[in-house]
Amino acid sequence: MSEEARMSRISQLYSVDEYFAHYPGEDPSERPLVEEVYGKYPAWLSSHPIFAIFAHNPKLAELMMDLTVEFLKMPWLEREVSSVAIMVGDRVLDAEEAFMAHAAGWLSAGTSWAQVASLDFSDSPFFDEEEKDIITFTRAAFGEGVSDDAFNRLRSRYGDREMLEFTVALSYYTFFPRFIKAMGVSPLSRHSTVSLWESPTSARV
Amino acid sequence: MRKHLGKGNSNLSRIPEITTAEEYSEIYGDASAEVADVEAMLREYDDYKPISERLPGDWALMLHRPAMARKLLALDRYIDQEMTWAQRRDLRELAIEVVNQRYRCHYSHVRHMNAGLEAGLRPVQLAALYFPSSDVFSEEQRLVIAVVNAVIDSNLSEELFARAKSSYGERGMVEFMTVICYWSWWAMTLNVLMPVQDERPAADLSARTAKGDPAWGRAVKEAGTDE
Repeated sequence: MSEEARMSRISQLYSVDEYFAHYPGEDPSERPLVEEVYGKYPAWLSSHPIFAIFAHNPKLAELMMDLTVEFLKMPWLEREVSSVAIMVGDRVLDAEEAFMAHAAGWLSAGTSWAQVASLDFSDSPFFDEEEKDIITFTRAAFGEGVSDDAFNRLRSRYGDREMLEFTVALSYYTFFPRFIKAMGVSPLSRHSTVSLWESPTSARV
Repeated sequence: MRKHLGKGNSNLSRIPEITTAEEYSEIYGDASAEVADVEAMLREYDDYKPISERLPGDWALMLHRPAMARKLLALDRYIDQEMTWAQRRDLRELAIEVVNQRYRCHYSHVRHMNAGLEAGLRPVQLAALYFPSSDVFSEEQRLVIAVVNAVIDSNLSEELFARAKSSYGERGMVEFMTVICYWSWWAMTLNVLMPVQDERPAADLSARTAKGDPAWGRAVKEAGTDE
């Protein structure tokens, strides 16, 4: 873990040892619980700054990761348009770090950079009707409120369960940008993201 | 089951509310694992907050994804009953109501009104959230309000963060930020899905008049009335 990646207003605790070094007065009887949490989600806790911050409270970190696992199972997130909603949310929240990280995933999947650059324009010709509806819905969810028309247009496409998933996911992805900004977390994956912007494949429109 | 949509009808949420395993099966069939999750979630909720008549609307919406609802409930219960920073219930409920006020989330605002009063917040404080510097709040309450507003505005300064951190420590700040972000999550979700409002403020709320609170009394006196 580079020093840059560790920058935040709150220490990032990437291992059991780091946890107990940070909290030397912690009751030793707590160690099995802490080890259990780090052992349950080793990949996230050893590399993801957000969860390494949540690890100040291991039980909270565990519950957050349990919930995240369930969110990631939601079929709506498998739709390509989910990225559109999430990145519009990042922009509304002025969450550059989250936006860059999410854009990296979208671009690496081969999506047009022109779409990423046009997220402020729901009537852009780079978006199809579904994507336009998603943008309108997302902006309304962050702003004046989602109209019945905007809700029902997507409900007729996705059904009740996926509308719940869409809404829950959209809200969940606002949780993290807010948390990241409040905690002053340094760039999550800035360097890899920028290189993607400059790659030939992402130049497709 | 209440199952219509459209905010023009306050008796109906935008997607059906599911309050029993039978209602779930009626929509999604009898997939045993999922129905079992619905039943387990209802048991866990009742163990956490005894269900008097029906599962509240916000959670009834979550039951479209019962496994997720269970994980969410586990987190909710932990925050409510164990997480250290949130055990200062007056501060927690104040933070939540500021979130609700900022998001204009009426459903959650009403849901937390009773909890706020029970935690020791005064009606005049719940009514004054729009005025974060008001002297109806203590210094610590003003700090909490300022931090919540700054997080929602994405402009939490180093100075304000440091002030809060000096009071609550690193673990406390993680927990405080979790409270803000978690109830922001709820507020945004509920604003979109619009569950039926099924909780009302405490019955004695109307009895807490100006005479019961010096802050109200001063305001009323200055306004030239005697109630």
